[in-house]
Formats: sequence, C-alpha cells, structure tokens
Amino acid sequence: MSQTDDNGPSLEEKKNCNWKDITKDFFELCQQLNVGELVHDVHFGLFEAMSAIEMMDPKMDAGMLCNQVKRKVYDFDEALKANIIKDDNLESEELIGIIDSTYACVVTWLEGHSLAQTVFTNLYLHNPEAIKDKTLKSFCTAILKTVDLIRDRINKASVFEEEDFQSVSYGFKMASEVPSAKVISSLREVEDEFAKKVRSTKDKGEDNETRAKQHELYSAIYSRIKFTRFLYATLLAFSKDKCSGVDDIEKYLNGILDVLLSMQSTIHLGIKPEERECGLHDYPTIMGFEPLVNQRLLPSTFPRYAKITSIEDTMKYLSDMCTRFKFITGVTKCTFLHQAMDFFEDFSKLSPCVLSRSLLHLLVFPINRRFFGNEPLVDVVRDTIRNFIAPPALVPKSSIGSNPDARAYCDAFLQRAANTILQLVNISGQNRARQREKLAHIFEELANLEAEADKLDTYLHRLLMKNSQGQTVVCFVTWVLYHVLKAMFNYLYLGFELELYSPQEYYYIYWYISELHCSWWIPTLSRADNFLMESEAMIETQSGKSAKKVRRQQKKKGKPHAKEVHTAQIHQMLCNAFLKALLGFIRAKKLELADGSSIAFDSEEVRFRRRFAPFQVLSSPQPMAYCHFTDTIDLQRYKPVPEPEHLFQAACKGFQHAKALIEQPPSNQTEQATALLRICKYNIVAMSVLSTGKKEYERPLFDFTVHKHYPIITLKN
Amino acid sequence: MSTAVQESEDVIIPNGVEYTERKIGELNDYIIPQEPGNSNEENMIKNVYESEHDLDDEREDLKTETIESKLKKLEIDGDTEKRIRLKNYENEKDMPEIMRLITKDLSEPYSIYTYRYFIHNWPNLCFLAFDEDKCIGAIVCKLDWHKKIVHRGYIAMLAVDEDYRRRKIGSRLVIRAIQAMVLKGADEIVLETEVTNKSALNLYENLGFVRDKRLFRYYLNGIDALRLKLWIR
Ligand SMILES: CC(C)(COP(=O)(O)OP(=O)(O)OC[C@H]1O[C@@H](n2cnc3c(N)ncnc32)[C@H](O)[C@@H]1OP(=O)(O)O)[C@@H](O)C(=O)NCCC(=O)NCCS
Repeated sequence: MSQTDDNGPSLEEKKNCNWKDITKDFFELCQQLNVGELVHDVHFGLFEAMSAIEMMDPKMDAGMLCNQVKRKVYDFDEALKANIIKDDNLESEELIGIIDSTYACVVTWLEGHSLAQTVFTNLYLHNPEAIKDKTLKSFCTAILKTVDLIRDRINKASVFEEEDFQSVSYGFKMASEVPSAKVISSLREVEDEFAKKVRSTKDKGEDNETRAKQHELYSAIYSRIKFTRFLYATLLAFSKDKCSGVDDIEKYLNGILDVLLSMQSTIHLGIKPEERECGLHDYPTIMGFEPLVNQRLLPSTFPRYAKITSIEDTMKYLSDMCTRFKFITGVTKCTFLHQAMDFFEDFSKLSPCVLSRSLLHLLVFPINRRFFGNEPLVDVVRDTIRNFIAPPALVPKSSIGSNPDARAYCDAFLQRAANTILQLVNISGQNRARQREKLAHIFEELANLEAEADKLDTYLHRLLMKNSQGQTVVCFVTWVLYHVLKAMFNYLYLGFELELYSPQEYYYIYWYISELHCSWWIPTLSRADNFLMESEAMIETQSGKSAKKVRRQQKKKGKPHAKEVHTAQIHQMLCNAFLKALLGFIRAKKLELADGSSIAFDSEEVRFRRRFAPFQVLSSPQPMAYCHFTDTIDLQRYKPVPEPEHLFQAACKGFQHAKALIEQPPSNQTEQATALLRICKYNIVAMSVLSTGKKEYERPLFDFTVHKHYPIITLKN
Repeated sequence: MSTAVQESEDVIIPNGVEYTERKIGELNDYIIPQEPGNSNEENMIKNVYESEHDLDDEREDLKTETIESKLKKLEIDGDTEKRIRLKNYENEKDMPEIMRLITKDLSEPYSIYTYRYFIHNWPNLCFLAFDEDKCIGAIVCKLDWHKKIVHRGYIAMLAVDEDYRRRKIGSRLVIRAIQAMVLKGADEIVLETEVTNKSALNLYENLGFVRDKRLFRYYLNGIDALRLKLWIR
C-alpha cells in the first residue's frame, strides 16, 4: 500500500502501530485445515494464485535476480565514477568489442526481445552526451537514432504481433534532440579520421608488426563506423516520401555488403569478457555492458528469456537483412496492384524479419494509404479491375460508365474493395503462422465483398439490358473471386509450410487444391481473359479496324492471363499426381489412415470438415463436401479395381505431364520452376520404381526441403 | 502448457474457504470402472495392439529383427501391464508426486499454484499411473468454455517416468483423460507442445489429434509451439 493512499494508514501511523508476531498462531490454525483446504479471499481464487508472482521466488520475482549476484550493479554514472568503464581514450579493441556487442543486442531486440534487456544493457547508450570519446559518442548517438527510427517504422507499418516485436521503449532517451543530419555528419567525421589513420599506417615496405596491427584495428573501426552510417542513411532513405529514396538506398546497400565482409573478418579483434558470472552466459559482459541494469523493467507480456545473438550470427543476420532491403526496393518496379500483391507474397515466402516486412509495407502503402504514396487506393483498385477484366462500367466512354447512378454505385463498391485489399496486404506482411490464422478470418470479409459485387453486377446488368446489350456481366464478382481463391490457396499451402498436415491428410488437401484449380481458378482467369479481349476488340473496331484484323492481332499477342493459367495447370497437374501416388500408398497399406481404430472419436470426415471449415462462409466457391471427395477417389468405380501399381503408374504419368508443362513457355526459369522440376524428376523415378510392383519398402517418406508445398517422395526400407 | 489460462469459477463456500473434498466425492461417480478387460479403455488399448499385429503379419519381408523386438517389447508390456494401474487424483497428498514427474521435463518449473489451479478445479480430470505403489505417470487437464460456444478440454501437462516410456502408459493416460472429458461434454480437446517434441506429437497424432495451428515463438525459449486438436463432434 502506498503512502499516498487515502484510506490506508500512513507510514507514520504504521510506525506507531503495536505489531504482534502471529507466525505461531498462524501455523497452529493451519493444522486445523483438512487436506485440500485452502483459506483465501473471495476475490483471490486459484486462478489469481496461479497468475500471481510469488514474492522471493527467484524464478518469478525479478527483484530476486539482483540478490543472486553478489556484487553491486552499476548504472552509467556509478560505473564511470567507480572506474569500471572509460568515457575517453578507449582502446581500439574496446571500441570494436563494444560496437559488435551493441549490434548483437540490436539484432536480438529485432527478433522480438525487450529493448531494456538487450540494447539498453549497454550503459553508454543511457547517456551518450556524457561520453568524451568522439568515436564512441557518435556511434552511440547513431545507434539510439537508428533504434528509434526502426521502432517508428515497425509501429507505423503495423504488420507484427507481440511475438515478432516488442515496441515498448521504457521511456529511454533516444537522442531526439540530435537532428539526423548531425548524426550522419559526425559519423562521417569519425570515418574520415580513421580513413586517414588507416592510410598513415599502410605498409610502406619496412615490416613493422605493431604498425600492421594498428592498421588492422583502424580498418576494423573504419568499417564499423561506415556500416553504422550506411545503415542509418538507408533507413532514413526508406522513410522518404513516395519512394524517392530508392536510388540512394541502392547506392548505400551496394557499399554495405562489402563493409560487412570486412567486419566479419575482424570480429576477433574486439575485447572479450574475462570471466562470466553464473547465469549470465548469454549476455555480453565486456566493459560498458551490464546485463542486470534493467532487471526491473519487465516487458508488458510474459518475459521471454533473451539470449543475446552471438557476434558471428549477428554479422550474418545483418548481411541477410541488407540483402532483404535490396530485394524489397524491387517492389517499386511493380506498376499494378496485383503485381505488388504478388511481390508481397513472394517476399513473405522467405520468412523475412519484421523490419524488412515493415519497410516493404511502408514503401507501397505509406501512412497516407496511397499506392506508393501517390495514388489514392480507390483509383488503383479501379485501374486494377479494369486491367484484370475490363468491366463495361469501368471502360471509358461506355454507355453505363457515363451513367451517374452507376458511377456512384461503382465508386461505393471500389471504396469497400479498397478496404479489403488493405486487409489482405496487411495479412501478407505478418509472420507466416499468423498469416494462416488471420486468413481463416478474412473469408467472412471476402464473402461480404462477394455479395456486394454480386449486387453491383446484377444492377449493372439490368442497366445494360435496358440499353439493349445482352451479355451477362459478372465482372466484379469474377475479380473478387480472384482474390478469394488466392486467399484459399494461401491458406491451404501454408498448412504444408507450417507442418500442420500429417501424411494421412495430404490426399484430401491435394484433392481440394486440384479441384479449386480446375473448377474455379482456371475458369476465373479464362473468363477475365474473354472479357478483356472482347472489350479490346470493341474499342478497336469502334476506332475503325476490321473485326477480323483485331482477332488476328489478339491471337498473335496471346491471352492476357495466359501465364497465370499455365502456372495453374502445372499446379493442378502436380496435385493430381500426388493424389494418385497417395492413393497408391493407401491401397498398398503403406500409409495408414487414422480410421478410428485406435480411438473412437477420430474420424476422417470430421477432420475433412474442420480443415476446410473457414471456407464455409463463402457463397462461391461452394464448399466441397466430404462425400464429394470420397466419391471421386472411390476406386470401386473402376473395373477392374486398380492395383497400387496402376495408381503409381498414373502418378508417374502425371509428374511427366507436369514436367513437360514446366519446361514449356511461358514458364520462366524462376527458382520456383526449377524447384518444381526437381520435384517432378525425383518423383517420376520413385513412381516408376513403384509401378513395377516389385519394390519392397516399409513406408513412404515426404521430403519438403526442395519445395515447401510439394514433397519429394522417398521410400523407407 | 499455456501461459494464459482462462478464468474459471472456483467453488467458494460463504466463509471464504474452498472446500474441494466435497467436489472430489461427487466426481467419483464419473470415474470409469477399472475391471481389466472389461472397460472401454482396455478394449481400445487392445485395439492398438491388435492393429499392430495385423501390420506385422503383413510385413513378411521385414520380420527378422523388428518383429522379434516388437514381440519382446509386448512381452514386457504384457508383464507390466497388469501391474500398472491408472487411478484418479485423490487429494493433495498426490501433489508432490505429480509435481516431481512433471517438473523433470520442464525447462521452467511451475509454481505449486499452477498445479493447484488445474487439479483442484478439475480433480476428476487428473490421473496418475502407478507401478504398485510407485507413481510413474500423470496427466493434468481442464474443461472450460472457449469463447462461450465451445466446450473445450485442455491437456495441460503429461509426463511418464523415463524408465517406463514406450509402453503405452502415456497413451493410456491420455485416453483415460479424453474419456473423462467426453463424458463431461467436451466438444474438442486441445493442447500445445513444442514442435521439437517428437514423442508427444507422435503419441497424440496416433490418437487422432491434428495440428491445428502453429504458434510462432510461443515458448519462453523462443521455440514454436503446435496446437493440437481432437474434435469430438
Ligand atoms: C510424451 C510422453 C508422455 C510419452 O509417454 P509414453 O508412455 O512413452 O508414450 P507411449 O508409450 O504411449 O507412446 C505412444 C506413441 O507415441 C510415440 N512415441 C512415444 N515416445 C516416442 C519417442 N521417444 N520417439 C518417437 N515416438 C515416440 C510412438 O509413436 C508411440 O507408439 P509406439 O511405441 O507404438 O511407436 C513421454 O515421453 C514424456 O513424459 N515426455 C516428457 C514430457 C512431455 O513431453 N510431455 C508432453 C507435453 S504436452
């Protein structure tokens, strides 16, 4: 109870109390309780007891940790006074050690740990103003500014959850009074100084060992300061309006990877901790670092144990991170929304760090929610739909396009759609596990959008009929369906990636994906193609070209969505081949189905229903029922009933077809295509071995290392 | 196990003393009869063994080593089978044994109140396995409303003494707990385990649990968890 509590006794009153020791009475009374009885307050039950912190228990009471260590824990000022840390004339080895350990802390923080328990275990960062050593001071100020900028970026992009990132700053001062230009310029000065020193210690023929050593040390510091400047400058450039910093970013990043290499090769030059206290093996303890300084600053969520990343891993992490930065600038080459969304998805497949995810997100959708900071999203969505399927209502100069009511209706829909798009984009920025969770909930939103699109299409269709043109227009629905299906594929494929399916389940998952491809995805794309070509033809003939010529032209150009259709065919073929292979294993009794023999509650039908449950809210595609699945895979329909060998043979053919398709244009030589080719090649061999019926093996194994969604099948002997 | 557990209503009698003995008394009615060979559970266990036999018969080609060793394992099982009894949690006196078993396999031990929260609120969902009078296995569960619509059973802890593993004792404990939860109206049963805990994953998946979700960096050591689920209906 605090002193200021109005109702409670003041400290003065407490002092005047007559205290009485009741320990003995208490334990005597306890004797009277029966086994299992517990005296407790009405408002303090077992749940509260479980969630409470037990005072004095070293595992729970943060205050006990300090009592475990038999030494004083110093803050910055105290450490300085006690001569435990230096604030001037640091040795080169000390600087290198401090810089490397600081980056190790930054990286650990970026991996979801608390700022207080990582970055701010470096005492120098608590008050860089007071540091006299110029190099250290510039470095520390820059780190504070960098950390602050990173925090700002990640918070603004908002594509993280508590397990990705801890955004609390505990009120630490982040050198906000120092302008960013000043940070850069003072780093530059230090850098120039060291550049001179490096030059002056260069080997001049005479072999002088100390001089060579000096040279090495100076170069090491030079690269570290340069890296610090480049990193901060890169992040600043990322924050510029309308992607205007992209050229600069590329320039910095080109330099940064070389600098990192020289940092990597000089890690050993830094000071190392002398001896380690028990329990603190996972923290830097060199001069300037006090792992316990913030032990009372606990994170808002349950504290995760922070093991500071090793310096070797830190360098690797930083270099990978910079490579990711370089990759994401590529998004500025996307002109259309769908391209950008595909870019997000491709990037996400690499399971990137939260910082690069956030930076990408902000490049494309900065705070003003405009596409690349420029175009209002509604306009972008309008263009996108026009590009995708050319709805008459959105084609300039069309009869309904100029009807004000129709325009207003369309605009309302586009507004609504823009919101959904933002949600989808946000999901693709989250970590992979969260993506699946969030996708499961987006289908309701998508179902509503489907309904809106349907209403709009119907309304426009009626208008058109009045205006005498007769075709049924389902353009908006088709466009929504495109996004619905993408979300469904993502949801199902993520299950493989997150290792959620057991081999017994693969066959209905592949079946479902294959059905989606052939009954929904490919038809959706073809419909869009037809609309596009019709609309194009109409415009061209209106401008005087002959219909025949237009058609010839179109044929030469090929269908607009041909590439996506081609990819879809490959995936469908693959899924089908896997389905056959799996049926073969099941029929050969090499893949046991959990058929409820071990426990009465398990049933494949229930699992099937649950696995696809999030799709239930959609009106199209209509959810596929379990009996639909069992009907299609029912081998009894065939006469004679196929043997496993026949199924393996069919699978083999399937993989061969898929392989042929991948090798055909318009496939590109992408990583994806190469991986799929390998899958096919290996599986063709496995299937042809199995189709002889002579192979003896215990069970199939599924190896997802080449491709996250399709395994290489091997046989366990 | 989860760090965020949902609040439940403790039985509180007016003077603020929680009296769990009475609760246990009531719940004894739900405990499944234990005559050997007669109960549901024994049948299920048998089923597990029988299906294994079938398999072995089919794999003529593999028989040499594997079948022999399997038969041997079965023998040991057959021997210990009779000695190993499952019993329901009785009272606080069981607590130290349960804690001893569970704590062994945990990186960060729970406080006694974590055990009390589960076990005193759901004493009928806690089972122990005994070899004569030695406690060699324990399971701790709860049954609660999830989002007010699903009656969700939750397996909070499970452990089997190292010297007694791979003898289906873990499976027996889980099956017994599932039965108890189903009798009490569970719609589904969930639990979390580290992605790296292959033995637990195998055990549960053999029983029909599916991996419902991956929880990124769920544990304090930064390892991902898998949420496993068994749907009852
Ligand atoms: C998990 C644990 C309870 C299993 O207990 P158990 O009595 O050995 O389990 P069972 O004998 O019933 O095993 C059933 C199946 O699980 C799988 N399994 C169990 N241990 C395994 C292991 N070490 N490796 C691979 N699979 C294993 C097997 O498929 C086994 O069937 P099989 O023996 O016919 O092949 C036990 O290993 C344990 O106490 N582990 C530490 C605590 C823990 O991880 N608890 C789970 C947290 S939720």
